[in-house]
Amino acid sequence: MLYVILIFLIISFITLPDVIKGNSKKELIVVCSILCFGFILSSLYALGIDLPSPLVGIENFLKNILKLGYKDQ
Amino acid sequence: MKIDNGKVSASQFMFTVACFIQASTLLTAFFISVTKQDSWIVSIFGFLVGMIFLWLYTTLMKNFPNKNLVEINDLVFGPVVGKIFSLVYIYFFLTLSALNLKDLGDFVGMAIMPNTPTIVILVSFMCICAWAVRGGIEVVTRYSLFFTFIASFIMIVTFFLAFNDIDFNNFLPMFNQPVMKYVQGTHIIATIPFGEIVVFLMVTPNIEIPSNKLGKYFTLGFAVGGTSLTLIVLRDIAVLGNIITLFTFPSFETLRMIRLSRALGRMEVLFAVILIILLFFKISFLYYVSVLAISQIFKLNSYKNIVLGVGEIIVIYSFNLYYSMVQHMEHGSIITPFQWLIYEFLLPLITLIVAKIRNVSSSEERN
Repeated sequence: MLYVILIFLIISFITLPDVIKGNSKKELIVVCSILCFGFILSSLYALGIDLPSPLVGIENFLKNILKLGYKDQ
Repeated sequence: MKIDNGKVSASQFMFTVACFIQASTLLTAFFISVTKQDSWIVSIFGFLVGMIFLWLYTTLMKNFPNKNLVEINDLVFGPVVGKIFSLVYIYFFLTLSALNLKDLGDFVGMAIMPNTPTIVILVSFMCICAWAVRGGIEVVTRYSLFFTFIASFIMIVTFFLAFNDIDFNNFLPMFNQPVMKYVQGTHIIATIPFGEIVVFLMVTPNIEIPSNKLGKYFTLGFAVGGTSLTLIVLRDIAVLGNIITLFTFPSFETLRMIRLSRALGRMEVLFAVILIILLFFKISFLYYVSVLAISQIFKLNSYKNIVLGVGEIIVIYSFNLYYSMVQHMEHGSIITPFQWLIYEFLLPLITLIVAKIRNVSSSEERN
């Protein structure tokens, strides 16, 4: 968890000064929201919480509801 | 509005396509476990089916010569529906990068450094990719020629070195499996290595090729990739025979078998070298494309500021994709081809048809 915070501080120090100098509010919002999203995901990973996978979700939808997919061996 | 002004020349583009396809040729276990000793036939069929995809993408590129995929969607479907299509593509690009990263992590964790935590390897790998991506399209594609030559050279040399172990009886019996197996194998191979070239629609504005020659260079690069795939599959089947279905990395085991008079052995390190080189190329290209698509959809002035943030998301996403290796292999050969077909064939086809019906093309807009 400590490493996650450390890495995000480093990333923010690399990225954010350029964005703030650029004087564009929209760009700042987008960059900050991407960083926040990444921070939430990685802290959940560091805390050992399993997130649902969208890939498996879509594949289960295709397999069980639309009945696509090849037979197993 | 163009975010990246880098230019890609014709031969560079050709080798980029070749290198991109060669990167997937090393992970052949998906379809070899389905069609066993007939996999080489299936890879030729898959190549032919892949030509249909190639025709589709080339047509789209010719219709919209200075637009990338996000701009095409905006132009063809209008701003709202176009955004939804673009979001689907961004999901696809992110998933592809995460999947390739996961393959690399699995390989390094299984074969080279079993005691190192995977996240350390992936984070350091992604740092180098991020460095390349911040340089732009020119930096990402510049080494494609070099990488293709290294990979082809190692492939051809090992093909000759493996001659001692080749047994042609390993190809028998031919055409002795149910028809559905061949259909399934062709489907897998057409979508998983070959169909992924849909990502090249994102870099159309950067390619400096006159539109009548575009198809030629695209096809040539595609053919180089397809030939190496078929050669690798032929070599692996001829050396390993029936036990080929047991391995996750058949090429790795093939190179391990090579032994020339006690002096030359342990050639599998060569496989590790080309796998890491080619996957580095493929992942940085996919990473570049996802970053470009995200900055394009939010209409940012520069893509450089979101590179590190997106990289972090990709690394964490690659741990959440599948719950286990077994699930990965099972889904990869049974259901993933259908999902990929949506992004690689259905959506571009719909785009093309709607563009024809509404009679939109970017060449009119220029005047």
